[in-house]
Amino acid sequence: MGASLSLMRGATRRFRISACLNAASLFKMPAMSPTMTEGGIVSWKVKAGDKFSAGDVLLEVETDKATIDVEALDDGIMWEVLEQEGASGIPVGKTIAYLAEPGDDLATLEKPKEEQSSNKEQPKEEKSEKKSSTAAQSSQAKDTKTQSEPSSSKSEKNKKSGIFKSANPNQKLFPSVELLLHENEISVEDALEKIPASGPKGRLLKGDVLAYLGRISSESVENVAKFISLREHLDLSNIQIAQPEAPKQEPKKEEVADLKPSNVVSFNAVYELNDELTTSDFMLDFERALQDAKQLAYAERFPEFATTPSPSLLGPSSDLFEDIVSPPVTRPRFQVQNLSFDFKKTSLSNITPSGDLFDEIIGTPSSVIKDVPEGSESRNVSVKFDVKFDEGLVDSALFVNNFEDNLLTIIPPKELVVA
Amino acid sequence: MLRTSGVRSFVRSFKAPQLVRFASTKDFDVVVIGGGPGGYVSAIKNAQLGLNTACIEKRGSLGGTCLNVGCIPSKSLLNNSHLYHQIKHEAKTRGISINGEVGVDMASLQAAKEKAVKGLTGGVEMLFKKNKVAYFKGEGSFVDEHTVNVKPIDGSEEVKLNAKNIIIATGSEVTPFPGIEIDEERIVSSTGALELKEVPKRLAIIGGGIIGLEMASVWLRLGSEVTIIEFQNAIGAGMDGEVAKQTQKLLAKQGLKFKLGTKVTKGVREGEVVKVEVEDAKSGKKEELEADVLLVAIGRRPHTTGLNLEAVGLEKDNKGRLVIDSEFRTKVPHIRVIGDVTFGPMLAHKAEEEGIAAAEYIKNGHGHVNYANIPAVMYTHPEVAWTGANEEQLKEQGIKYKVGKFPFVANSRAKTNLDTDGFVKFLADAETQRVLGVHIIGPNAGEMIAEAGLALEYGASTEDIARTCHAHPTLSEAFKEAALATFDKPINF
Repeated sequence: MGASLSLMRGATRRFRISACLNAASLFKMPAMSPTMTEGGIVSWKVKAGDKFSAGDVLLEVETDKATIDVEALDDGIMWEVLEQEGASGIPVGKTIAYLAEPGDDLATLEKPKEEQSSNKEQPKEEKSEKKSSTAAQSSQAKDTKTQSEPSSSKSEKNKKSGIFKSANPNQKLFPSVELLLHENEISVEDALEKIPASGPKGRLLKGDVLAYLGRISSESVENVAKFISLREHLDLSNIQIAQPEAPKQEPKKEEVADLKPSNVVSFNAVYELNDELTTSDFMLDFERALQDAKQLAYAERFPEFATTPSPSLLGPSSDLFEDIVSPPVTRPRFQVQNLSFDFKKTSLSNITPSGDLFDEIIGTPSSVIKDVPEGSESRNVSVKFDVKFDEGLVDSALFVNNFEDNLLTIIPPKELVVA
Repeated sequence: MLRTSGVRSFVRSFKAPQLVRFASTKDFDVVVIGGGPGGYVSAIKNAQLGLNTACIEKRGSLGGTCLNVGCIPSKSLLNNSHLYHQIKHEAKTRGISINGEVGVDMASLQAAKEKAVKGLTGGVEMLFKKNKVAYFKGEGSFVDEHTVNVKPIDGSEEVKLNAKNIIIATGSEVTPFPGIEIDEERIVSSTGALELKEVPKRLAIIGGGIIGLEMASVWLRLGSEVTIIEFQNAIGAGMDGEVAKQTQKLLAKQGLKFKLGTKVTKGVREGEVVKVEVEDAKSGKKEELEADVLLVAIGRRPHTTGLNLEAVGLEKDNKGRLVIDSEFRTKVPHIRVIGDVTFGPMLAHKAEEEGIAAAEYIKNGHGHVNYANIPAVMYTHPEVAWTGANEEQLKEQGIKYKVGKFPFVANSRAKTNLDTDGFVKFLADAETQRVLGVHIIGPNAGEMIAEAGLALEYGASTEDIARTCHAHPTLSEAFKEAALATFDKPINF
């Protein structure tokens, strides 16, 4: 921070000397994040005539994402506030106040002319402004522990898309990255802590730094990373099975309407029960296993499902890009239907299906229990159910596969026939 | 996180399934069916991970198509025929004088090839011994989900192998051309094309892919008049379009004849010649070609003959590939499939990667193959090599990219070698300069592509390559300069 600060001061000083002796300096709307284009003033913490020291909070700025304190980069005096509290939509770079140096005589100070300054000194001015904003931002990260920290809230949003990760702290930086950090006076520690990484295994790429600096949009980085990650896997979608298996059960009519172009896979699993387990316990456990397997299948793709059992409990997604690349989180990928248990050679008949909760969550019609013959030791149960999935969705088959794998792991059957 | 505690207690209360054991049965943690580059590598990796592993191979020697009748023998012929061609045609310009005739001794040429193959396949057998992989020379077929029957090739008693895990790595076979009967004498597959006893005067090749062009190069250099017949309008399936065009130009300059957009309608042997009827795909104009040898090289198809897949009910897709999930599992989860017999490019190194990953999935539950970065190499002269995306794919996906090219004619080492055909071509993301694909035609392209692979694997930008010191004078400087050309001006061009 110190380095960039003095640089900025140097630039303004030079300007002041060359343009007009003993003039105030401009205080412009800072960019608190690489994507910020405009902001509002919540409140001024210093009034005209107040002295302040480096690190004092000058004002509170409101961005589209958060409210952030802006600290003074240097000692000085607030000379005149141009944009009052409550002003909003102020573009980044617009002058919002005049500052004086400590010791300046306010009576003889001249107001800088913005038009004039923009002619020759504009590039320099802009450059120093950028640096000051970077410095303001980094000071921000250290001091305020509110939700307002711009880069972290951004990286959190980015992390959700699965492309950006926290940078791996144990990496040898790419030469391009090292150079960019050096040029912009960002320390390696800061970079690894703050810049979200899109490279393999948390590797910081040139694009990540460029996006952090606001030179390119983070969408560009995301798009290329998405393109690459899509190619990283074998395309196992739309496999056309050579000899389609003939007997496919007709899906029943009580289907949920939104699974349109659908395919039904019938599962028939056989489990061997030991003596301690009652049929009702088994059914309960199996239904729990089904639910867990389903939830896990969603959670593997969408982490938010780790805590939410059903897609309908999540709000609607509006990300158009996501929608094109992969269907939104809330779109159901598959449903489990027609669950039935067939107990063989069992002496127990106190069956109390626990269908209610399960039905609610998985959307299954009530379980059907049949054929409960009496009195024997070796007990098998044949569990049948159908999985219906939307073939029109690129990833639904993958979800069903994951579901099947999870189910097999959670509750491995003696036999499984999938048709 | 998830409510699994109830389920876990439930799982524990299951009885473990009883395994039926036969007297002639041997138990293994892993049985790999197929000892090609996918299978043998996987078997060794499984054994190294501490799993009791067996490998079944019916060829009689390990290494599969690649070592026995593919990559390895063809490289022997390619390299030696290139040397012959250079000595014969370039000796003078290079200041080497030869007293007497420069000729080819076919028998010795083939012997050199055999020696390389024998050495390498024998080497794999040694590796099996070293890593304690049980090697069964015979044909494996499924009895049930856990049992594979081995019918030894020496006619001895059949053995049943009981396996907790099975990896199918049975590879691929030559796709036959409908209506053309391969006799491996006059009408040959790639296998027969490597075994020719004499240089055919006229060689016709159906298929302008990598196999077709490599075989064309061998026999062209040894003196054949070679014609490539390709149904598509471009050669080198999967190559970047610009690279394919340039390759065709360079090969045509060497004397190769191309008939693109041409359909073969008939191919019959009449005595010692083969008559090939072709038809222009657009105009339908017919033509008859005569050749001494016809090579059918239209591709390869998955090989599952004799596996008795019906016993376990594994699924194939409409191209005969065994259906797998992202962890190579079939619908029977402990049976996995890798290599040519399933999805993805039919390349030895892809199968190897999958073989390793499959072993890691069995042992650790996770493995990794990056399908976005599987290099392909064609060993013609100049060589052609690429990895990552090509220009056509980037356009299709709407990715904004920059091209950086550097010709070998501006590279000092290529100049001194009098070997300046070709270029290095980088495709990088327009904004981030992340490397998306690299395509090289030129001397040693196959070796140079490894650096591109590393760059892609690490997500490097072209600037990172341009800022890496490359030795002078080497061909690799062309690589560096092409990277530089995606975002700046190259220095030497």
